[in-house]
Amino acid sequence: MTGWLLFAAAFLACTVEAVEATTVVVAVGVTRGWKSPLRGMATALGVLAVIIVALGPAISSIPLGPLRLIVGALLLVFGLGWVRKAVLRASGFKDLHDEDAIYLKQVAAAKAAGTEVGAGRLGGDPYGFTLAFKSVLLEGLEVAFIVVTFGANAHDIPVAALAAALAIAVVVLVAVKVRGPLSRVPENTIKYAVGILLTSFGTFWGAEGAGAHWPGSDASLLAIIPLTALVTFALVAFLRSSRQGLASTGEVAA
Amino acid sequence: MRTVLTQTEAFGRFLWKFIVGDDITLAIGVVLGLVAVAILHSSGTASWWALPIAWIIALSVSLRRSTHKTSARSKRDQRK
Repeated sequence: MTGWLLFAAAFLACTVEAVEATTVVVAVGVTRGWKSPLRGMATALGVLAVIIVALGPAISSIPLGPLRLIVGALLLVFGLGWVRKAVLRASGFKDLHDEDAIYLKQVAAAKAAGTEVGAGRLGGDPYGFTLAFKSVLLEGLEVAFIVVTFGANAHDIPVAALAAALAIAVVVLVAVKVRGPLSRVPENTIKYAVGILLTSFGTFWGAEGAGAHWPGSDASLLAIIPLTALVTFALVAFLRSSRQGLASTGEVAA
Repeated sequence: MRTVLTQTEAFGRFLWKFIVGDDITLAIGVVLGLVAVAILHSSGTASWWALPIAWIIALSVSLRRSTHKTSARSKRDQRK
């Protein structure tokens, strides 16, 4: 592999991984506030730096499968919870603004448990912190793997590392640019979209962690995300029509 | 000792709520889906489709339960 070819391959591969991690951080930041996801991201980058320094090239021996399985399963459960609420809201079975009350209840429960791993230490929102932390750590490890494997194959790890750093910088710059416009989108719409994204990434990573090979590899996300959205739209349409039926017979308020 | 137990219990409740959320159906669906993927993969069959199918079923069941609860509550309120 020539230097330019190595640079292009590593840059593209790392861009995909960086986009995946940044999407989760931006999505959580826009919906739940930026403080906790940014702390989660910074903590993950710190842990990642320690792992890279401690293991060096031996990093490629870390089993990624179990990590993908755990991160994917948790993202999928969280994402489905968001989608469930969003579908209930969009179909009129749930009030639009009850999320804050539920969140405050969770924080109160965390405080009652002593704030060892609860709100205070994680910067206010353990949910936002955990989602950002897991995604950045997983994708960060994948970027490190790409640098080590591509770089070692071409006997030029510095070029692969430079490509990875540039890919991350470009993706972060784009994320900073889209952050403003995203914050002007209505809250419930954003929450719906985040639920779809978390469910899609959770489906992708979870199935990969359990051994599945997606057709088209990472490109399959381009099909998973719209298909997830379509399924939820169909569920909203079905629930809306059944709610209208119930309202006409007086079983729920119109 | 009692304080430690209370705190552990409260933390357990928080963790349960944090991971499982409002309805355990979704978590069960995800676990069953992942098990199905692993079984299909080990038998050499394409397995990527099993997880989406599992969560679509789990989400549909969870929504059905939730909407039934809402209409049942509405009926009770009307009787009062």
